[in-house]
Amino acid sequence: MGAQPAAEPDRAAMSAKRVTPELQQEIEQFLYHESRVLDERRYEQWYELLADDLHYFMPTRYNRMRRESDKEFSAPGEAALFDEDKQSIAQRIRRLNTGMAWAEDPPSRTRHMVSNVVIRSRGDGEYEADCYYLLYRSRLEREVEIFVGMRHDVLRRSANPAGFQIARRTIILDQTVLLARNLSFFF
Amino acid sequence: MAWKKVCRTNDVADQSGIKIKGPNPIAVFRLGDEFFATDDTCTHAKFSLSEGYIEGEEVVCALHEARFCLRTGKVLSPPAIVPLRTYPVRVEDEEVFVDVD
Amino acid sequence: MKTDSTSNGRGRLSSEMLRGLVDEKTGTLDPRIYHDREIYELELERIFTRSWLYLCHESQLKKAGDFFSTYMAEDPVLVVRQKDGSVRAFLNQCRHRGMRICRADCGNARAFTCSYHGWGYDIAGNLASVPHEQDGYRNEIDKSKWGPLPVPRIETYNGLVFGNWDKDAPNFRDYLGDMLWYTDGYFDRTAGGTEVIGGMHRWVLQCNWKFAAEQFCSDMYHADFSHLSALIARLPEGVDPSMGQMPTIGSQFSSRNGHGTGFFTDVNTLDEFNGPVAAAWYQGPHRAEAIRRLGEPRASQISAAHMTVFPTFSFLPGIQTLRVWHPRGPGEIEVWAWALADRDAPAEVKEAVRLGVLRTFSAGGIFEQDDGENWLEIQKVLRGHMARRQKLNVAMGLGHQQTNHPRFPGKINNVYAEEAARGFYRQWAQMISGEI
Repeated sequence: MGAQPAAEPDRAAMSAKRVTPELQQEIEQFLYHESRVLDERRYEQWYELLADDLHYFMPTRYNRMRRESDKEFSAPGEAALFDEDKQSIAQRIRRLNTGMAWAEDPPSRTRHMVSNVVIRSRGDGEYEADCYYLLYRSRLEREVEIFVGMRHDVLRRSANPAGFQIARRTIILDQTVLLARNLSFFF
Repeated sequence: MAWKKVCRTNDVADQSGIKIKGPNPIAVFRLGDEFFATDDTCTHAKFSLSEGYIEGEEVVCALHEARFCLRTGKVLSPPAIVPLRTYPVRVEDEEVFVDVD
Repeated sequence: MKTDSTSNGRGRLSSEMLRGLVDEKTGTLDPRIYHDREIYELELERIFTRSWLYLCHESQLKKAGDFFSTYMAEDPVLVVRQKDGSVRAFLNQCRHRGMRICRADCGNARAFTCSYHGWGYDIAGNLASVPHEQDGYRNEIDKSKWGPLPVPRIETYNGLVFGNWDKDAPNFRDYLGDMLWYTDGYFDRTAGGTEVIGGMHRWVLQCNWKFAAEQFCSDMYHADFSHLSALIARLPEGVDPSMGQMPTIGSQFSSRNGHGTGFFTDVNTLDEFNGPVAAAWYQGPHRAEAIRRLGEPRASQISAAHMTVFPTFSFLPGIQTLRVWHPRGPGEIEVWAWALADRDAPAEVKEAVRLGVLRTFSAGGIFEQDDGENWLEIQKVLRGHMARRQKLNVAMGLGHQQTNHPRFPGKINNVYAEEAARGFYRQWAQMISGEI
């Protein structure tokens, strides 16, 4: 088991890599666009935002005594809620499109809210973008689930109309026992 | 002076302690090549300090987090208030001696 | 029209009434077994304190002091590896004022201390230290009498650790009884044994525990419709969608003790479930050893199976998801699930099993998602008074069971049957009514 998979970078090192307000805005707009695409269930379009070498990862999380707090998260090679490549995401989308994915048919209503966006450049057109997320999901008559946590993305400049592709996404959820019936949607 | 042979050096793994049984049990701790001896019973609420966690040159009682300096026995954190008794240690030919007077 | 009696104490829950909730002879169930709070309280008392309940896998407790915090039904228990290598478990409740002794999910501990008044326990669960023993208790407390309640019976079966509150319970193998032949076929395949992949999945479903336990016991039937989307999605691009069909030939076994399993025997379409790397291992060295140890049909003719050990321990052999359904009231469960792999399998095989399981059978797994949808909606429908008065149907294959199958011992029916469900509910009804 491991420590926080996406620790906050050193502030001094950060300021050396600070991005311009224009780039900050451009990336935030990309994240908002992506949220909208997901919330409108335009999965094929979302798929186009994923890089071919995508790693989409959501570790599991545990209550640990402080002495063992470095083991709060599952480590690579352990149980994860998502540990996906582009092919397995394609499989998930194919499933949603069958019309028989009962967990999403009738579909859930989701809103992906993102805030606290912190960006730094990795060079070569790659950017690390951390954000906090609040994902609201309502389902069927009266089911409501709320997911809160942090995302750590690596975005890559792309010729696609959205301007970027998602190369890495690590999703931290602020729960240990998942308080949800399933994860039949994307973070 | 009452030097008493209590164990062999390799009886004690690095960064840990063992309990030497007796009417007044002694704990022998090892930090690298250095050995320390103290009373084994925490001065707070009777628990074996050889079961405790070693952090730097301190032993932390596994029960209530009382913290003592291995070198001096000084209390470094409550709930303990009474210092831990320490004993001189000497190592000869891979054998550990404690002056239990 | 007679109505449900309103909280009439336990008077209304006579043995006769309870036994009548299940009629395995006609294959009908009274849906109140999933909804009624008083019946649930009786389950805790009469089923969960007398049954063998899954605690953890030995591989989770590697060294002395390693602990895993789990539950036996609603009772929190700490399972701890001892210095002598044995495993002990005790109620995670301080005897002083009832506080939870350990609030971490897992880890390594030298001792456990209640955070309320500081009562301290050694890893065996003995009360070792009481603050203010001298000035407060005047040295009058007998610490040997105030340790947390030990789980009196712990047994390990092929790496799986089970506990039972009933000190007079039969040993675990006798409890498995006629199921042992099948579970040996699932858990005793190689000398190296098994381990769980690190970490686990835990999630909450608003449904009764029996929906989940019974389905894994007896229900291959739902798979080719509930999971059709996943079966189709997993087909390689360009392949005829009719290849997503489930196999059809197989058998289901119903144990005298309420356990059950079902499996396909014709084609191994699910052999590749966790991908080609895992398949190469499980069809290769793993199977060769299983043939030597178990022979046929267990080594290779039983594939793509489901199973439940009554009441709440389930496993999908081949797919390799292992889980316990912790009840949380009549209308809620926590699923605690692990991926099981051969301990001596190469790292890439374990990785394939890990990925295969999390992508198919976990909260986000493309198969598992749809199970919850069914169970939760049944539970919600059962809020209705009329809905609770409709008998439910577990009659598939009724009367077509046989006990002289040429290859499979015990009571056998077609893979698409509800023989094991009838056995599961018979066991439930016998225990809850006090018949056994």
